[in-house]
Amino acid sequence: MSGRRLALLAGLPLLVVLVLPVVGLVAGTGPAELRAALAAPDTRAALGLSLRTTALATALLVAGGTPLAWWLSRGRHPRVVAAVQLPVVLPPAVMGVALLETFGRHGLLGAPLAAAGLSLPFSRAAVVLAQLVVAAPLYVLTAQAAFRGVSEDALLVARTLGRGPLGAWTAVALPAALPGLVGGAALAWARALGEFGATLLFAGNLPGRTRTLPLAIYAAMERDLAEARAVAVLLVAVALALLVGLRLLATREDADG
Amino acid sequence: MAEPALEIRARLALGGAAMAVDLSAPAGPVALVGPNGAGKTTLLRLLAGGLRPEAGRVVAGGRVLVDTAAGTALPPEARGVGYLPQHHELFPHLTALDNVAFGVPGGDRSARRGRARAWLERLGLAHLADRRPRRLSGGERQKVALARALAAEPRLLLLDEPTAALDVTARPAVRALLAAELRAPGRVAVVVTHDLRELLAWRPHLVLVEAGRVVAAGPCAELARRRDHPFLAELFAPLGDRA
Amino acid sequence: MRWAWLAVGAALGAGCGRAAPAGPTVLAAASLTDAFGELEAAWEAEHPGADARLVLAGSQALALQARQGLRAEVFASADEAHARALVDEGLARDPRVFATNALVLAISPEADWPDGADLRDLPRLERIVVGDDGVPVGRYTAAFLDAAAARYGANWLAGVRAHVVSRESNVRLVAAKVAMGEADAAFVYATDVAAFPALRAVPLPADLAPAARYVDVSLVAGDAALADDWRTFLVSERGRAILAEHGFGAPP
Repeated sequence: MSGRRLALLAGLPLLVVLVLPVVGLVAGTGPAELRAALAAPDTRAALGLSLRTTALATALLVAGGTPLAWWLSRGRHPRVVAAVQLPVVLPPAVMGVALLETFGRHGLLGAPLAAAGLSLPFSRAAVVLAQLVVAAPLYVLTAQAAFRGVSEDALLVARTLGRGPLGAWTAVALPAALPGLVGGAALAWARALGEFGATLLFAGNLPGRTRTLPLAIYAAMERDLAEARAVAVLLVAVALALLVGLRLLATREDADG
Repeated sequence: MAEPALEIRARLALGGAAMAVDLSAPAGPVALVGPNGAGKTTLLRLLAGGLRPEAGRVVAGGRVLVDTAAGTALPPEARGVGYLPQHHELFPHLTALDNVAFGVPGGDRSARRGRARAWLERLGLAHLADRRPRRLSGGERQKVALARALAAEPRLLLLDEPTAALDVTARPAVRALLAAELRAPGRVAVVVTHDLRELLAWRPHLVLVEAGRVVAAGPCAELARRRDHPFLAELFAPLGDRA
Repeated sequence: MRWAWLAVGAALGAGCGRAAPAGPTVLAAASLTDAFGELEAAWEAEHPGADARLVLAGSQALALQARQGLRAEVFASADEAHARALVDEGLARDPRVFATNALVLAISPEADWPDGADLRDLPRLERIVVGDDGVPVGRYTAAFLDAAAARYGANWLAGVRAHVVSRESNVRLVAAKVAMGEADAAFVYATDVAAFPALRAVPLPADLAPAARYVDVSLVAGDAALADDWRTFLVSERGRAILAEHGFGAPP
């Protein structure tokens, strides 16, 4: 038996454990249930809200996370890396409480926010913020790894060939790392879609306003398991479409030549 | 003696290590030799503008690139540099042609690509123009990177072991091409090499760097005769007693 | 896929092994968390060496787990419907109301709610949190609001609804929001106010808000003697005292 086959064989149980629950979920849901769930106004509202908020969270994450990842990739900053990784180890519900303790009425920034007329809890902004925080490590750490592949000499070559610091970065570092950035963004987006605990505590749970797909599943579980399952299948489908779609985009960029 | 074409008097701090370089060379190619880690690549980066000296002055071809006393330092993009780094550093997302066209000065896009194509042809790479670096061999990558440096028509040409990745049959053509390019009018060329044939063909001003210092310098033929340093003795040993 | 569950069950059985004198496993609605925690300790004090186990979750989730084969002796539901459904399916028997819990309006300590304010003033508060319609506390709240609209008017109801910022999926989340001061007011049970002493409780008119009835049943799959033991203890003098301490009312 070849080494590769052996590796697959050894990894197969894990793969089965990962895939089987999804198969079970989908197998237990008939097309009629799925159609009914899709037709329900609550589900549609939750789906629309989830898509909009996660798109915004991902866009904000890419905007802020890309420069941060670049900076991290240019040196050794173990403490900052640890801080970025923190949301991975913290239970999301704890993150939700932490967000309340920070941005809530009585949180660290509660008074200045109130003075500025801003109130985050129970708002869409809170949904986006919760998603942003839990998804951030996935993007920043993936982007950092992608940027690590861009050498100082490659940037220096671009500089010597007439580009300024920013020009060299956009002409060389960004495109070279792009497949990694897109992969990281897809992963972060999918994680944001699945975000539950932090949203539940920080943003509350109001249909049409802060009730995202995962919260809709949670609410449906209290009523009707079949409905909850159908909405869950919908969530899985959207997340898979994102992961696969964006990955295709990233590899197509890289395919020819 | 005429004004030196290249003059470096600089102190550099690199992490823990420090370099103090005092180097001046007449017109014509300069070759840096010395053991690994001596600081040859660091000197190329200093010239390219990727490093700032703590203190000192760098002049090339009559232009002051850095003068810390006067507070001046030209950024890399203003130095007119063509730099071939040790690991080629081709841009992975661009084809061979677009890599070479990246630094071609002036003209519109098609004119720049035309000149880039001519460079690929001179290096025998025209058939690889549309390939990404990932699908090139090590030698092909080195030649593309060399074409990219030359296509920029640089006033300061910096080559870090430009033929190291080439197989022996590919070297003579590149050696001949560079013999002309290193002496192009108005150009200061600094090349790191340990290839004896190249040294004999290019007849550079030879600079031996060791542990961050210049320990010997002079016309190649003269150092080949003197061999008053173990590194030089080893480098020129294949010549026997000829030189 | 049944084999997989059997395997898991076998593994769990082997791991736990009912060695020492056994105790009941009690599925209890989330709103019973504190009271049943104390009841568990009291029961164990009376049964040295025995170990009672609590599984706390929303009533619907517990009913689902009982259906899916979670082995337990007693199911204590925050409303009658979930308990009766299990009885109708033949999975449980002997339903009984063992406590009541009044729906109240809990006011956050920081809310602008002067002494003497009453329900009519509710729409003036900025943020109100309620339970989702899918959970008992949400259903009680919705029923109360509809009934109250007849007394206070449609404008009042619209004003209240406009300030609802969240519909939480269990009563503990509702209470937490108001206890943290993020919400100004919330409809919760009297027991939740008992758990968060800083909260002020505004009682609701009894004719508009009938108390929630907590119903327990013995699960057919469990050990009948253990179930009886726990349920008898629950309505003993000691059991009633603990329930009352946590804000529960006696059954009618």
